[in-house]
Amino acid sequence: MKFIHTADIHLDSPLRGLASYQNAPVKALRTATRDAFTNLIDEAIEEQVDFCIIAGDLYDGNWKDYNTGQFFIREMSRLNKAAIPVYLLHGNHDAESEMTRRLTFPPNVHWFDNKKPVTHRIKELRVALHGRSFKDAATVENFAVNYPDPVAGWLNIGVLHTALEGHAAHARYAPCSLSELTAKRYDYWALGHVHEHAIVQRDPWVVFPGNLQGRHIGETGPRGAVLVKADETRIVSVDRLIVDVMRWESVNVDASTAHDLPAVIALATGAIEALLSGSADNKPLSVRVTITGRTAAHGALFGMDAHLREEILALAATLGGDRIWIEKVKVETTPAVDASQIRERADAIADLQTLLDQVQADEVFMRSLAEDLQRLTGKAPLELSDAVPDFNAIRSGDVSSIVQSVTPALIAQLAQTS
Amino acid sequence: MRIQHLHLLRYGKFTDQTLSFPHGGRDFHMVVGANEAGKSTTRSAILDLLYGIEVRSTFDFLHPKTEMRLGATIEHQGTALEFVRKKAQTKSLFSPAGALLATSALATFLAGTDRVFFDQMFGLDHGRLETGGNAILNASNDIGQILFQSAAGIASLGIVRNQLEAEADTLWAQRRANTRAYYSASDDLARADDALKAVAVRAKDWMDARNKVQEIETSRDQLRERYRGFEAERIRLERVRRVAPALRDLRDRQAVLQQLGEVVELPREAAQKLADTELELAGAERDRELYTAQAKDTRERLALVRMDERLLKHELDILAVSEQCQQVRNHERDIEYRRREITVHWEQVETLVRRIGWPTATEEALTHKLPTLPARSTVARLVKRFDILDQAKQAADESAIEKKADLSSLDTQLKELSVSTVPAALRVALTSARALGDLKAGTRRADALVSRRSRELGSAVATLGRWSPDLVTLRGMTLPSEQAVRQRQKLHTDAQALRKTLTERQQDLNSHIEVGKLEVAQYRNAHHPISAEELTEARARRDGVWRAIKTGDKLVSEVAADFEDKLGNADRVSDRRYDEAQETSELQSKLDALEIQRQHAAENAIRQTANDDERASMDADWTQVTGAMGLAGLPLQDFERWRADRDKVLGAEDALTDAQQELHTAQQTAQDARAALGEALAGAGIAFNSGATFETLLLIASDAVDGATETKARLDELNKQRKSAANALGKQTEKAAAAQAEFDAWSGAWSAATAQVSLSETLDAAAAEGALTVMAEIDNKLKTIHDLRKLRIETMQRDLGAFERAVAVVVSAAAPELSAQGSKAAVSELTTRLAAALDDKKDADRLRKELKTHEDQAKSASERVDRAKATVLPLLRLAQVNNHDDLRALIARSDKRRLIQAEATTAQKAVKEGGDSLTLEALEAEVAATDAAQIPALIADIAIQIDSVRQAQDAVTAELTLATGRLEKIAGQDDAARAEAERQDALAKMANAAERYIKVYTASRLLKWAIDRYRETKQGPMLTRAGEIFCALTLGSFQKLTVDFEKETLMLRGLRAGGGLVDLAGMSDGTRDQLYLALRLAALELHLGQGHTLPFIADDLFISYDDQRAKAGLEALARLSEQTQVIFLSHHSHLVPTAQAVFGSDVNVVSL
Repeated sequence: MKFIHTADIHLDSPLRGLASYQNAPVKALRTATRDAFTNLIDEAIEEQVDFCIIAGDLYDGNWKDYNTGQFFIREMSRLNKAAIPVYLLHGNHDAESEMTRRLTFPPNVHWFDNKKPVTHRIKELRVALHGRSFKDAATVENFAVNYPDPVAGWLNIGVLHTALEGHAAHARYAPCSLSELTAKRYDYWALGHVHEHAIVQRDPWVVFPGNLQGRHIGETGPRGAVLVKADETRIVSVDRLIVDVMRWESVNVDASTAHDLPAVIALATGAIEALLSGSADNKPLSVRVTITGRTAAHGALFGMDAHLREEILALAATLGGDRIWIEKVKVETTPAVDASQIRERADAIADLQTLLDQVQADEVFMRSLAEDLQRLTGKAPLELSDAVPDFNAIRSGDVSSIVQSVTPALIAQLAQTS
Repeated sequence: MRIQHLHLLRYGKFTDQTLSFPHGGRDFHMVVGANEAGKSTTRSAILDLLYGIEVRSTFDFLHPKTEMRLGATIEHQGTALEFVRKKAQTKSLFSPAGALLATSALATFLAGTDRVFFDQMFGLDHGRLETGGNAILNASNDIGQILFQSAAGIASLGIVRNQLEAEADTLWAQRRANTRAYYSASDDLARADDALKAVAVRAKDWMDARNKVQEIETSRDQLRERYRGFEAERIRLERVRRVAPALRDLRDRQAVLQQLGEVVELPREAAQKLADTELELAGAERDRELYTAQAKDTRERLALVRMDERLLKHELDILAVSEQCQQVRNHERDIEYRRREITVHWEQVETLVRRIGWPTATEEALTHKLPTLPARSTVARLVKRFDILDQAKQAADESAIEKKADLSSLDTQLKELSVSTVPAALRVALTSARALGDLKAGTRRADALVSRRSRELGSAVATLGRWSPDLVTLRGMTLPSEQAVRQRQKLHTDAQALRKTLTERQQDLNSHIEVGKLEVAQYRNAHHPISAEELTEARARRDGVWRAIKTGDKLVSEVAADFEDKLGNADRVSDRRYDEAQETSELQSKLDALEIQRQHAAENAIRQTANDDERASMDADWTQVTGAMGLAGLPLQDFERWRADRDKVLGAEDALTDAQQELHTAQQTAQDARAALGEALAGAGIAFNSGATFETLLLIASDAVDGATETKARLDELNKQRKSAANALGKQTEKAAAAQAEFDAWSGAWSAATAQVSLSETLDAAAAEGALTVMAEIDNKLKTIHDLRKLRIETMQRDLGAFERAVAVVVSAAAPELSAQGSKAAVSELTTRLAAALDDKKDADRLRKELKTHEDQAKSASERVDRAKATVLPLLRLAQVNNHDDLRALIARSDKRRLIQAEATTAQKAVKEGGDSLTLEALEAEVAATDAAQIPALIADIAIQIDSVRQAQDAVTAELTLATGRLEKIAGQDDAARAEAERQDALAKMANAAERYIKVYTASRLLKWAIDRYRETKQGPMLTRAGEIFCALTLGSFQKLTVDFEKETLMLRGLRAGGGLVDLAGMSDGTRDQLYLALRLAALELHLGQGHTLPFIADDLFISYDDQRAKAGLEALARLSEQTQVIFLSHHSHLVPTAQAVFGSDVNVVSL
């Protein structure tokens, strides 16, 4: 017997942070979450699994397009034709979706109730699936403690959308502890909510399959579901089933040895080549290039940011063709010559640095700078606040952190200029 | 830091060239060279020397990169370092001896500076002067920028600022524009929002669409039912019309069959079969008769042919003898030819026999006498061997004689050579003495060094001036750190600069206050405006009288006039105030402005006092520090120079001690060496003068040892040569004996071999060789004669005999009558007769074949007749008749019945096909129940009904298609997902633009703020000093530099000697370059006052100056050379006298 366990599909939710440009593989990646889900259904049919489990967050609650539901039904119908039942529950993201209430599903789709835990039995396989859906998005009740006792002599699977304990990066919905899950004496806990794949425990199995498709730079690496094999009494194996259609990767370019922009580009070439050669499955990559290190090129990088980005984009097009989409070129270098060394020079640059060290004490200037920048943030959509961390500082009127980060770059740029 | 020597070892065009920059009165050095002499190379060399040779250096055109070398001796505060710089990324610093130096070896000399800083701050050339001049013109509205650019040596500050502002403007600004990245992305976002709204589908939309489809489907089903009813009636009427005629035909045929009664059923093809048989029978009988007649005729012609059987029997034998006859037809003539050839060969043999002196003999006797081939070969081999052996014997004899002469000569030379020896002790002493080198020169150098070091110490002590404690105290002093002193100096300089700025500001403010006061007084005099205080005062006086009246203190009658007077005055004052409101306001404005100036003056005065206090406090603190060190009165600004002088004194003292020690060591070494050498010579018994110097002793010892060594070497060489000559003589003697023995052996063999071939043993080798050649020729001729006789003549005679015998046998068997004829004639006759017999035989064979063919054809025709008769026999039996006529009548009846039956079957099939699977009975009932005449009208009616229902159906179908289309559009499309992806795309672009804008805008603002502050702190001292230099460079054309503080934008101007102000745009290019130079030098002087010193490299600065201005420029550099080393590169040798005029005749001039 074998089944697929998946979760956090977030159908039709977009990839975030990708700004298109001339050579970016734009069209191929507009429907990545859908395509990944289709891949999963293809795998289920090809593998002839006995059933599928979806442990919550099928789609996003604030996503209104009914086509998404129709698409899901279409894919479920394919499973229905292949006689593969699906057991699914609502998580925090799809609990309150209108689509959840209106859609008419094919007979192979079985929901877990949101009022109390229920058990679905598959007699011919002697499998019992226990689970409970979220009624509200912000469910903080411990569901697990009230799950039913296991059915004796059957394979018992608990399906639950939870942050479990220790996943600070995710909201603590339906909190519970590992010991509480263990105490239920089920054979397998099919969890959802945490987007990173994790086999939390092997006896009994407690598994997060991770989300099907990475959607932003915080979700790097391969993504997919898990294929679980079992005999009548126990789980035999749990293997990852990678179905994503594009992958997020972060490339670090250590520019410590570079003295100018061409040298940084040369180092970036090596880093991107290494990324491409290390990625065997030829999937499109969305790449963040972060330039780091204490480098003599710090000033040049600050002054030629746009040029740097153009060079990296051209580089990606040359090396990866339409396989690479550069998400962002982030410069996080520090100057090769630190403040104390600049001070030792005792020249005009050093004087300028000494003056700039005092700028934060000039309240009038700092207030004026904040007000100028607030003209930008005042008209910007709120969604930008997540993408531009400085917006929060500007809106609060405290721009000291911005001044602090810009000053060394400015000094380095002037010291480099001849 | 300064450079003492620069070694251009392998760099650019230079090879092992050294430029020296000794420290004179002022540290100024002029490097002169024509164009292409290497000035720019020298400048780059200093940069590469200090900070490493650049990776992509272009100075490798003579020396490859791997061999590029620079060297130098540099010094800083009394410490010197000599090093070599190679081209390498790491490990590029080496000592002169080749030892690797740490990268940090230059750290104290360079004090953390980098290449860019050194080049910008301490390097200046004509190109940079021009760029700088243009840059300050471009920045003429910003004094801060001018000062900063000049001080930092960066001409592109304005460019950086402009780039920052321009980039910020392309990203975002308050004014919306599509060209700005943020707004462009914002427009994309709006479009994506609209697209999302247009394509997103809510759950209710889908429900509505689905209900509509269901409703239309119900209507469509009802219409479909009605259509089916009409269609069924139409089909029934069509069926009746279709099957009624077929039903009628069926009934008619069935009646005809009934009438025809019983019929013998014969096969369908019976009639055809009968006709075919009758036709075949007639043809076969005709052929049978024709072929029988032809056979009879052929048989008769065959009987007439006759053949010669006897000849035909011996056909092969006759052909064989005919073939043999052809082969032997020329044999008799050939035999005669060969016999003649033999006669000719024999005559030649007889001639050869006579040539070697043999008697004439028969062929057989001659053959027996001729020697065998092995015997002749032996003689030939010995002939060839003779020359080799003879030459070897002669050569060996001659060589033995030469070797004997060599040996004798060597013995003579050995006897004449005499040998002498020296003891080993003398050799050891000589080697040690030579290793010490030139002791006298070493001692002299050490002595000179001590004298120089003493003078240097004296000079160094003198530089300390009145702060000169004894050397022990000086060494033991604890001094404040260089950084601490520099910090103090910086604070002091800043405070002084601020004092000057504040003082100037105060003067300006006081001047403005005085002007303001004068303006107020003049305005007041001109307009007499009523102030608020005057009005209040007039009203107070009026109200005072009125209060006295109200309180009863005064009677109305008493003060009425006074009250009226004050009332009137107050009203007049009031009226005037309001009539002259504008003047009053103007006056008040002037008073306010005056008050603001006073306020500024008061604030400035407070800052001056605070500044005075701060400077006094710093001075007191410094006085305390110097007092504690015993250096009371040493000014702060002189302290670092004093420290450097102190370090030089201590360094000089250390150097003196080292030199004295070295001198002592040299003297002691010389004494010890002389004693050792004298002792060794005495031991060897070599006489010398007891008062001889070390050098004399060294010469005597060298002669003795070198002479002994040479003699010994000669003796060894001669002995070696003699041994070699003796060995060679022995070997040559052995070789001569061996050659003689071999020759003797050959002579014995020769006698035996000549006897074997019947030649005289006295015959020499050459004659014997000729006789052997003749013998070989005779042998060949005899062999040819033998071959002609045996192989040719006798073979042909045998062939002729065999032919005669074969002919006799054939003739007796085949034609005995020809036995009387000759063989060849008989063969000819036989051949002719055989040809005729063969022709007869051929005719007989052809006729037999024809006869066989005719007989076979006649037989075949008979068989066809039989087969035709058998074919029709079954039909006759089936019809039970005996002849063909009866059979033909029965066949016609059978065929008619078959035709009627087929027509009935066709009618039945038509009924079945058109009857829509109804039974025959049902169809007959349906036809009977329908009036056939009405059918067309009924069908037309129904067609109208059907058409109406179809139209309704079409309308519903279209409606359904539309509704279904709407529903199907909500079938899981991804349009909304794509629109949302485009939204995120736009948001990402906006975020990128905003993120960069925040950085760039902030940087731009910070830069502007910092430059303003920089101007506030630096403009006083820097402009004052720059003004002085500018005055000198322009030969007094300009007095100083001024700033107009009252303008909103502070403008830098030059004050003409005549009092006129000239702004930057008004200056000529050359003047502006001079201004930039003045600013750079002023900034450099200020920097040197507080920072680390490095050499200033000036490259052809005064390229466009006339002599006077060039002198002024050199004077400006003279002041700089008091603070740091100045290396002035120029291709103008005419500047040398000018430099000597400024720096003194001993100024260091280096020629390239």
